[in-house]
Amino acid sequence: MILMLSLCKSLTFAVWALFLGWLVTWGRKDLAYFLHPRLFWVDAAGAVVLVLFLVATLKEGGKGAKKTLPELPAMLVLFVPLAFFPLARNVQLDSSVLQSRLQSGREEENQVVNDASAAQESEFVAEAFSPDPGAQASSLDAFDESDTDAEDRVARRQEKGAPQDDSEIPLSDVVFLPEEYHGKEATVVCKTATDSRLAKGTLLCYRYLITCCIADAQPVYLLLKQAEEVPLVPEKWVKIKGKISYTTYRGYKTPIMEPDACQYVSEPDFPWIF
Amino acid sequence: MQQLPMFHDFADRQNGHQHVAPEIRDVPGIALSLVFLTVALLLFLYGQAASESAARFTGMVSLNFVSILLEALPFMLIGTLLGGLIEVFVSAEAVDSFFGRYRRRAVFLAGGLGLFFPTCECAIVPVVRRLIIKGVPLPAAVCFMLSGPIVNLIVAWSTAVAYTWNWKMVFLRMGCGYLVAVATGLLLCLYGREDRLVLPGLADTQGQKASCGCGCGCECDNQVSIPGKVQHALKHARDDFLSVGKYLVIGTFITALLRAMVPLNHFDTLALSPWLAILIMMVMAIVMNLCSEADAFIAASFRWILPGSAQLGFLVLGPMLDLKLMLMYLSVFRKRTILFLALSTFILVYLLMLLVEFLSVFV
Repeated sequence: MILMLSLCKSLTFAVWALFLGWLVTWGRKDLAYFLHPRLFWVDAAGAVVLVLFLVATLKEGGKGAKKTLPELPAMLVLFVPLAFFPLARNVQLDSSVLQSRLQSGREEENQVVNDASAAQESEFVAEAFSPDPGAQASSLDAFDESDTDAEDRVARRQEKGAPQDDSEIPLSDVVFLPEEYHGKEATVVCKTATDSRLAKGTLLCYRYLITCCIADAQPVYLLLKQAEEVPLVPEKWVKIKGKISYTTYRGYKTPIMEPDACQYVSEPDFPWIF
Repeated sequence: MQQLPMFHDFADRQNGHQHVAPEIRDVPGIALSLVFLTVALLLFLYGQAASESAARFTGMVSLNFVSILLEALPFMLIGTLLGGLIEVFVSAEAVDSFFGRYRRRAVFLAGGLGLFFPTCECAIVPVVRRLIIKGVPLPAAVCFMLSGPIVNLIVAWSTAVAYTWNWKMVFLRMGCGYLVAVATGLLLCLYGREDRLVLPGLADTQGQKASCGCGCGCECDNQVSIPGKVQHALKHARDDFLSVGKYLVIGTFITALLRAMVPLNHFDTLALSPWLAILIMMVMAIVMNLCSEADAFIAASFRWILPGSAQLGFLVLGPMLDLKLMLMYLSVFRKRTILFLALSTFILVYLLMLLVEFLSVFV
């Protein structure tokens, strides 16, 4: 019995050490899905500690161990997170989760934006980027059949020659410091979403910002004013370039972009922003 | 002036009287583990059901559960290792000389220790567990346990970033955290029988030379060689991890479940007045707290909706008293002690936040 308990302990430590070790080496992409990269060292340290526990347990053998069968449920508990890991990995934080993580107080803020945008006349001209052909192929692959018209228009404009591609700036920079980008052109990558509270022709373009782990992920977004001739489709990753402005409500600034160019792109390797 | 318990034990040790630590029983932990295993299995099976909503709900619970644990569990491992090293390498005499004879002074000192030894809330419980066994006065140990995750430079920095360098919020958070922790410690000073506040096994080992909770009956001081002492420290740390780890997993699971069931945006519609807003944010802190760093960003997201006192209540109470912490406390304290800690910190934080609200309106 003591030997069995000792083996169970060793197995617990070994499995967790291997799991954490895999996450910080070959599974870094999976780990980045859950945890801020600045905390990767924590999992590496945890793996090292577990290896030390395993060595201490193996050296001890069964000597001096407590005769406590009830320790078994505690060890089984420690395996439960591993069982839920595959389920967690397949979850996508999309716009349905976005709604639950946005404050409902934003409803009033968006109304202010709606009023302001309705008062403005905007001429929207969509120009395409000039990506390299490989990238173009991947963005076209992301289209659904319903996007064919938009895809065709983007492709026709690309043939005419496109303006230079600007470097992408983090969406968080635009969201947290909109006054620095006010009146300037910016290029960001984000995911589109609709919201019934927004005015017609306005979309959210968002990404999730994580502080420590994905459980605390908060959506950050800017508002897109789109033109009818190039409708942006919701739930698509886009690389958009346009002029930034912002609106202020209760001291909080929300950036607004009028896109000049748009390209559908595939989901980034690290979809979160940090 | 009340003397520390270890003074009496020190006399015993001088006389060559050896103590063997009894086994620490954990009946609530066993029962809780079995219930948790059942619930987890049911949820897992529910997630395999054909309906999309079932899969989505289980997915969100899994996501929160796994991500919080991938951050918290390694910190707890580090905390248990620190605790094991303290157990073997820090003598009871050293602890006694640091904290002094006076329990009240030790409380004030312990409240600021986090500035020098920043510890997150997941790691602090196993560390404090070992400090209590080592003979640190219980009020001081509890004060460090409550203030350590708040009164430290890392949390100060994350709060500053979340509130865009609003230093008032940073100092208020740290100051209120210190005050509540010290007040709770001083309240515990009024109760003389510390052995009745901690688990029976821990009470028997407090301040003793042979403080091996593993029941091996050995004396740590007999390990002369460094490798021998390290091996002993690892054994203690391993046992602490197995004792406390299950509570962390279970508490995290409950938190993940509640976060998936109750969206964040439901809370801001309930805040009709400052006193109610403070109360609701404090309840949210208990139910949904993640870690003291991430708390700052979650509280800051309510910046334009709820009063500052309500946000502060979330920031102060969360690292002291959340679901997973309360479960982890079961590995150290008796249930009545946990109830006392829960009530006292809740009431103290609430009263302090009302005062902050009053001062912000009238000053």
